[in-house]
Amino acid sequence: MLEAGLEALTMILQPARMGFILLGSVIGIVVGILPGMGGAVGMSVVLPFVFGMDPYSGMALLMGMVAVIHTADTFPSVLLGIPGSAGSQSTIMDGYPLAQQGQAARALGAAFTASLVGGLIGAALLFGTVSVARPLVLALRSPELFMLTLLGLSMMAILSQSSPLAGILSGVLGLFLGSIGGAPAISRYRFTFDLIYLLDGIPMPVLALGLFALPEMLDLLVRQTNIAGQAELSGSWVEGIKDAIKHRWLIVWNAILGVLIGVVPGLGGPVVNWVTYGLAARTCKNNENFGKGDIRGVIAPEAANNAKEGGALVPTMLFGVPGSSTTAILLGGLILMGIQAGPRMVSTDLPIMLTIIWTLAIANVFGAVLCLSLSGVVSKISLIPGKLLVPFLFVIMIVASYQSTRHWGDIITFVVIGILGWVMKRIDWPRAPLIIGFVLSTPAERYLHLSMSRYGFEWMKSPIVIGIAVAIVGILFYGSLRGVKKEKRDA
Amino acid sequence: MHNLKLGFGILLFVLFSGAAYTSIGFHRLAMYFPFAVSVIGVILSGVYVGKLIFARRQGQAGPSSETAVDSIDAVTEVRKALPYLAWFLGYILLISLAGIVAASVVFLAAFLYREARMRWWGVVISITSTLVLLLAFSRIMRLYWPRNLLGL
Amino acid sequence: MRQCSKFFIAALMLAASVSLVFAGGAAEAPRDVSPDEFYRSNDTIEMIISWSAGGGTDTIGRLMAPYLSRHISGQPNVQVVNVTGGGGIEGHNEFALRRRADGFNMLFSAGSSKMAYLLNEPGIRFDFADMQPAFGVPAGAVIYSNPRAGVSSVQDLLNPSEPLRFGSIGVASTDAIVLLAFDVLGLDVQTIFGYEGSGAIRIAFEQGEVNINRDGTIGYLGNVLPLVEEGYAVPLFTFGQVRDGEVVRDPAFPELPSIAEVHEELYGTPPSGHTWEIFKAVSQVLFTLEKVMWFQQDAPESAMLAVREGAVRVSQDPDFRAQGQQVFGPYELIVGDEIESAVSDMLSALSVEVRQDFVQFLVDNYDLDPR
Repeated sequence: MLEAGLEALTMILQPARMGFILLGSVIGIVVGILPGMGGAVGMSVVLPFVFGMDPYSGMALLMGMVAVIHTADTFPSVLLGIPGSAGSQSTIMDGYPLAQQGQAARALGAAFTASLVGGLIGAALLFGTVSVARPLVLALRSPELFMLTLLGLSMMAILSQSSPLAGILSGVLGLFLGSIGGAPAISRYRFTFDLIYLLDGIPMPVLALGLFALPEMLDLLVRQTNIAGQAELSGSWVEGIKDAIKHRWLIVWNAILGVLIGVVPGLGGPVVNWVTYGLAARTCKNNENFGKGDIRGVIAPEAANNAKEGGALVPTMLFGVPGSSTTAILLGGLILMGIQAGPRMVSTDLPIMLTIIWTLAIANVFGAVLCLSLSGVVSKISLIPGKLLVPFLFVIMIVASYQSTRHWGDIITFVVIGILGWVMKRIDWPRAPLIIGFVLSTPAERYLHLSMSRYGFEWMKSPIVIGIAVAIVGILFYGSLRGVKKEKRDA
Repeated sequence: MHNLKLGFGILLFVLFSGAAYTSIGFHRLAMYFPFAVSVIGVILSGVYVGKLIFARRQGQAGPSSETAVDSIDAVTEVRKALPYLAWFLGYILLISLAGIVAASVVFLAAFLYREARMRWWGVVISITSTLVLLLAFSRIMRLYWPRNLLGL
Repeated sequence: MRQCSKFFIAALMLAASVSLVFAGGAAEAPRDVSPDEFYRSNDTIEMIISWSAGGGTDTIGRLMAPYLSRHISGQPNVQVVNVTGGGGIEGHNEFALRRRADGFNMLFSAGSSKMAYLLNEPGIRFDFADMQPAFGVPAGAVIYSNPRAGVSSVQDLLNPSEPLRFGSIGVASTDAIVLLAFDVLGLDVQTIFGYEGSGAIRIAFEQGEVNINRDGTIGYLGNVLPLVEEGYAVPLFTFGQVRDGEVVRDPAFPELPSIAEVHEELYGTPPSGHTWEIFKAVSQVLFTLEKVMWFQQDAPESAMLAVREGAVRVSQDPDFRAQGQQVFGPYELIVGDEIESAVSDMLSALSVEVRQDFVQFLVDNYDLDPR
């Protein structure tokens, strides 16, 4: 295995191929920085060029981009409070407050370091486990997937500690919004009002943009200041790197967690970063600053969301099941180069799989270094007066949300959800549970239906199901116990 | 803030009630999930609204005027934000009439000049550069524009 | 204030001139020339694909685009455009209703949109009868089973040691024809609806959650054949291809029996009867002519002919044949006069009665929403 790994490395370490990884990384950074434009847009840029390339070079270009998008999407999340892509939503929770305190560069420095290390851990874990990963995925049947969905949903409770009733209601609203469109269990459409736009449901990128971006933009205008709220920035990206080193175990644990959740087919990016954020907020010591600018709230999800890319390659490459629109296009690109994902990836096509892993690792380094060197300059965005910044952002938002389905419905949804998000922000309702509920609504219904129609009530006897159930109860109680303790301490 | 909360709570209550009622008409397999979700929504939003009304009764009885202060603040916040919201909605309306390129030019020019009090040359420079960037990106990334009524 | 209004007038004028510039490019007189001269090298033909990038249809479309560009007279650019929404319906609607019939817009349709058309799913505003075909791409499907879950040969189908379970995305998808096939063969299969996609179903198959499955040619070759080699899956039969009303073996799997042969093996007689006729009609639509490149009915004939002639040359290009083998399997493009007759066969196969009977079958057995 090691020998094969080194051989694959020599395939990649050719100047032309390294050049393609670098090119892919640069495209990935541009796509990641532009809010709302995920990997799908970037892939469609690159896809026409992979024609006629040899598989190793083409893969270098594709993977280079895939690996870096989730590093660069941190920029808008931290600087503007706007999710750069689906994978960096929870980075907003603490990253944006830090930017508002003038510490954007520090937050970015910590985030990119966490991304870098997380990405490398992800690649290493993938390398170590790729030949034995199939049984892991095969152990997750519909009942287990349903329980994992519930585990994700339990984060709703964790993220609404400040106002439980409002938080749960917001999550229920998310579940409801997620049920718009086709029902998973039977070919029927729900709440679509005969609009073709709603047949596929509300697109997630548009929902996330509206929920977070429009409220921030309005508030920025009303406050009549810049994002940092002051004339000068404090804290530099070097300080952020130091923060990351200080919390190195947090990075390692969340990277491992990210890989594990990434391996689960059918859950996907947004779940990873909310679960890791929720767990960090719940289990870290002195957690009262989470949500107000705790650097650990940036480090944890960023380490996980880059590591996830490694884990997500297991279902993608070994089973041909893409976990996101980005990996779907990656699969399409590979087919165009004559590579079929599937079980052969760990037998006859192992060299290709290993090159993919190396590309992932190398691109992570490129991406993190590029982003770190940019972070000092780019964080000055938080010094631009809101009134000068917002109109341009608004134009970008409209263009970005329109890329989701290229339908006027995207823009209308953006505005409607935006107003909803703004009202929720004004009355201090947590918006994170809404996103979690929305993302997990369809999986929850789907896997419950599959479990019941295949196994009846028998599925509840599976040891893994029981194990996850215990874990959920543990997570929920752990927090309330700590809450009680804290109250006692305060009293 | 209090009134805003109450209004939003009532809105959710109505929304979930409607959703619960609508979902009764679905096929059994398509019904149970949205029905369960909206019934939970109805109950929770009912409790939420009830708590708020109860709190208000108590608030009126007592001398504390904290909620009153709050609501004045929230109202001014909302009032301040409404004009900007109107700008945005106007921009979107303009896109539907004139297409995104022309609408963005007019929106940016007007906003920067009126609200941000930018000098006219600053306006021209920033708009031109934005347009150039947008068009360049749309070429490279194959972005698509919202179409307007005239098909521009 | 005066300065302000002056400024607004200036801004409006600027906006007007900008939009004029952009509008100017679009309007051009229709070209009335021979197919060889219709396209020029700086033209762009947009190929509309109604599913997102990376999917099966998208990948084949992107494979074809550069070859079409090379072989259509005048070497126009061929640009893939993904118009998603409504489960593939939105792109078809856009093509039919909002795209100009000027020869610069083509639609690449696939089996699933034809199934939606067949079942008259909500939101459909297009009609394949109002379109003209340029060329087609066939596809195949293999039914295979899990030997550890009770089915290791065709004979086991009638008396499996575990109940037959089939995983499906939903009844209003191309899975419907598999349900029809089970009915033709008289199999007792429990269908579990609600899986996310063919990949998820394949995982469920390996887990034993379901034990009989269907995959397209490429998915089978990449993902199932390795399982077959290790003894985790057994191929049972293919749906074959419909040739002059008869089902013949799939050219991609000459060693596997077709569904008609399996019926004969199980019951001693070739399949016949009403359900079998419906099956053949639907199979022809979904597999024998799976993907079709369309122009609108009123698009310039010379444009359509130019693309048709280009497609003939593409199908003979050795590079394309080698790459196509890996992307959609060892099938021949349906080009030239063949496509015309194939499409008219297809449309006549979709007679009102066939449609009604097919819908009725799904309504009666699988709770399809009756429309």
